[in-house]
Amino acid sequence: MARNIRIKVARAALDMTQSDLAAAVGVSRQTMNAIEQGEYNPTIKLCRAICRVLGKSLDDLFWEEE
Amino acid sequence: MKNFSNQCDERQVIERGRAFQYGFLTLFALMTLCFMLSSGFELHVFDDFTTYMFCTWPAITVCFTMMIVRDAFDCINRSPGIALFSIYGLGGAFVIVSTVIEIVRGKAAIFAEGLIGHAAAELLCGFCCVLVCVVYWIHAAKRRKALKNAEKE
Repeated sequence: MARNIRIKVARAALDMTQSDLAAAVGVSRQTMNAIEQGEYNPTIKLCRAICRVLGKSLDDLFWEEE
Repeated sequence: MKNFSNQCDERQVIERGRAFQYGFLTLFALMTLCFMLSSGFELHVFDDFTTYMFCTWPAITVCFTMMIVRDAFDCINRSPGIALFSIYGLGGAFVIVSTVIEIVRGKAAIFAEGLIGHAAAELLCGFCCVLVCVVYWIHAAKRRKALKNAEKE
């Protein structure tokens, strides 16, 4: 699975650290890191929570361009 | 925002399940090995207590180690297991030291009546406890370093 750089960019734009975002969506920092590194495929529930906190759509953060 | 879980997040639940799975498979493999040795090849290597310890402690150790290494032991709404694992490791060290003292005094033996005896089982138990403690401490140090790097980015 490819790295998800878009989450990193979106949280950096809001001046949030991995720990801040993880706390906001209710997961551990390691889980947020695994999502950004492409090592863990989150559930749709968690994807929506991340999108809500970062003010982005699912397409913006999780849609993979072919 | 409301947390998804009171204890572990979704990835940690999956990793915990995987750790229990590997622990169970280890237990199953060791029990099968003991059965094959005693019934299949008529080789009586361990006494009953040692057989039990030989099967359970490696399985528990595999389970704990997998949970620790995959960041699934310390859950989000729970205090870290540093105190727990320190006590666990100290307990293991105490078991090793007391068993070695008993062996030196001649009160316990690794081999007794042609079988691997209680002392070997106790040493294995102590070694497993210390191993899990060491893995936890090393992983905790790595995690602190990773957190510092993540905060810098």
